[in-house]
Amino acid sequence: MRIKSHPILGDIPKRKLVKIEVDGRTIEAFEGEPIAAALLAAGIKVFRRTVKRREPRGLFCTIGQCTDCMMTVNGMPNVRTCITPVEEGMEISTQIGRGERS
Amino acid sequence: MDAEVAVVGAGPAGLSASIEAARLGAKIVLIDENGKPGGQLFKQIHKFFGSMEHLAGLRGYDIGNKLWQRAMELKINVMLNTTVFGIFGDKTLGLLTTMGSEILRAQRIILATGGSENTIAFPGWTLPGVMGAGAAQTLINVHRVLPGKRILMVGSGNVGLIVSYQLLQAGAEVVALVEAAPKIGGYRVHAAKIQRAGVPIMVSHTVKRAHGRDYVEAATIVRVDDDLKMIPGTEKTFDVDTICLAVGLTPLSELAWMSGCKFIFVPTLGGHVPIHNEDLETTVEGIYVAGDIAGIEEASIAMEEGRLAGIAAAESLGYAREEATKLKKEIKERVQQLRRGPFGEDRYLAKQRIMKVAPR
Amino acid sequence: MVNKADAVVIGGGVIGNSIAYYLAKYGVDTLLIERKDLAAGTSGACDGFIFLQSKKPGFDLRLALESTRLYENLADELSYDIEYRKCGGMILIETEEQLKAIIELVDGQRKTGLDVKLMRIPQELEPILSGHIIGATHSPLDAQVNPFKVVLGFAQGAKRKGAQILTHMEVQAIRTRTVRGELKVDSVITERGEIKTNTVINAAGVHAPVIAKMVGLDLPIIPRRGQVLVTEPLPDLVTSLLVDAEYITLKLAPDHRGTDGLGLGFTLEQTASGNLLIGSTREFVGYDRRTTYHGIKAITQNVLRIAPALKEVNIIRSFAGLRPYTPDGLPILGKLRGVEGFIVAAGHEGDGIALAPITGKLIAELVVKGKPSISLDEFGLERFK
Repeated sequence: MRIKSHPILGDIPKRKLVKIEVDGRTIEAFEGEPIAAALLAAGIKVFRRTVKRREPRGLFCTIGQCTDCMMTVNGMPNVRTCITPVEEGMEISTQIGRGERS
Repeated sequence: MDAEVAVVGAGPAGLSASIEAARLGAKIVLIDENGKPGGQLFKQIHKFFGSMEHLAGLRGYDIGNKLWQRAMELKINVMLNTTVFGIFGDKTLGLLTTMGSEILRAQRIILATGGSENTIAFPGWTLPGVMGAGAAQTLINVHRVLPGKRILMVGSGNVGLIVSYQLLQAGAEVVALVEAAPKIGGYRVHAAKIQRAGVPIMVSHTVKRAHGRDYVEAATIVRVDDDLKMIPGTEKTFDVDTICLAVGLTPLSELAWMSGCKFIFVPTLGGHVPIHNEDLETTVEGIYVAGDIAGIEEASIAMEEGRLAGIAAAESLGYAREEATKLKKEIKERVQQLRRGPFGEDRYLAKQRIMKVAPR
Repeated sequence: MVNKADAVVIGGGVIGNSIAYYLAKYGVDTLLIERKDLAAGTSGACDGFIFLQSKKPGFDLRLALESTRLYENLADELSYDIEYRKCGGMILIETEEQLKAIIELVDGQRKTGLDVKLMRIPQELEPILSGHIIGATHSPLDAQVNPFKVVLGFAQGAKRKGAQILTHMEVQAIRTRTVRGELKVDSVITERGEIKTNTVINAAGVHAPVIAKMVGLDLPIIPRRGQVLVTEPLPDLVTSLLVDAEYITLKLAPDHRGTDGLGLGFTLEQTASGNLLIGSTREFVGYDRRTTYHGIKAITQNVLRIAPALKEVNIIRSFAGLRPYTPDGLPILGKLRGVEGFIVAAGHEGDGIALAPITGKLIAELVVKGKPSISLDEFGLERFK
């Protein structure tokens, strides 16, 4: 959920809206915001599944340190979505394990 | 590429260090892996305490802007989106930029790499929805997205208290704040603010389990005894979608380890800390530390330590010898003031312990 | 603390633990002493290659083949997953000149009994390889393990069979006594006391000369640094162990320093966890275990020549280990003349992991039966005199 107005920070800054695809579903995102922020705003919480037990993982540190939020972006696995900016038309998918195809 | 002083990390400590050293005439290269400078300052939307010298009364992001502006005025060479992947023999830094890798030879290095949030393990702690309190703060104040609607905060240090308040400001509901110790860890005034807003602060309580299949749907908390053992039968379960962990930070010290700095284990300051003297110089000559890497404290202290390290590094290169002594003395007095009181006392003593084993 | 043992093994790396295991298996009352921790030295700073093709045709290769046979059942024997995988291995050929030399090598290896063949289009098996690679050898016998797990597996196995392992304990001296005019091992002095024993096995790797000096002997082992890079875990990209021809040159001509004195040879494997381990340098820089900018850069450039597709992959760590080099590239194994009861098993350079099982087995046989099932004569210290 986006914080549209804030008692100290005021209204949310106007930025360019773009479309990105997440597991085949199209969502709107602000250009340049971290992928993770766009996903959370769209209610998506599970970013990847672990290698051995396929357990869900999501955002944890938000500053690029912990690597829990890695997803497959434009075919590349292990992309830290909390520090990777959104670009128009990005194809993002839940990373399964190390980034296996299925 | 060459630099007289390479500063790693453009947060409050690194920016302050660069500004002081540059002001005294040293040639600086300031490096940060992020696309924006300021470290964690830009997510701090509360007003800082302290005296005027500490920019008290200003909000964190205002301080960040001020420091950045000053760095630009001084024409400091800043490399953003640049990771220092190693420090090799003879103060050679390996840099990874968006263009590739390059080498930076420095005469002095100031490490201001900050800290990373700690976590605690409990059943369900890996579920999406369990995150660092600092992470939630980044989301709401920088990216303007709520991590969830109903939050359980774990830990009552200043981070837990301040982030709880900021989550309320952002429109979330903080269902409870649990603290395993028998008393609140952070400043009274921060605690009072969230209590007034109706958030129960439950001391002698901890999180026992996060529930949910694919993400957090509820959390069970439990009372603990004086030895922090869970007391069976005292569990309570809340419907929450987010559990924030504010359970301290650890210095980010890889580059100091790699440089061969000697360390000391000081729990009060977050764990393994590079040994440093009053001028923040480590056991490796010419390598300094400042801010959270030198022991987890507050942004105001990080800035003072940064200044001190910046001045000391410039002084050692032959800049402003006379002025430096006076400047350093003033800063040391201000730092001592910041460490007064019940919260600073322990950290003051811990720092004294480090100085004792440090090279002169 | 224990104050006597039938045999004292010095060194908690892969060689020492293997020896301790096979000794304990024979029922020998064995004590292993390690100055730091298990796998804290070379065995914890290497790749997991069990690469037969780099062994000199003849004795070296024969020992390696025996070792491979032991590895095949080792996980079961130790009840420990050592991440053993018979993945096969390739020597990559980039020029016609290399091709000629490699054909000769392959001939020799076939004669010693190694199953190896030449492939014209290695890209069919490993699509990641650059198009300029004109061929490769392939041996299905080459395998990989997780070196840490091999060390810990041997250590646990040894303990189960009654061996004692003491870590964080430094050997300070080895006492000898004279019996009928001959020097004999009498005891090992540590910071925590004296241990009476008739047999000391020096498996201290790059530090073996320090231990040998305690009984007045000189070992021609010197440390040779190997830097290795670790990538992020990746989907399955590479099956085989990969090395380039320069790596083989370095192996077979131990004095060859390569360009820049870096001794750069290409090695690549994908571990069970998905990380790529990319090597490696062979540098004479004393006991300096740090990685260097130039080392890392050279390894990176090397791998991009072989597998340009890896350009986007993140390196998450680098490490360096010290390989115990000997002048002819072969280990020193067996009894040392002059001090009865003093045995050396060190100097494996880059082959410690590959040769660990057979080394342990043969040294144990030497201790127990006085004569190993494969003669170690060619590995004696005397060959350097």
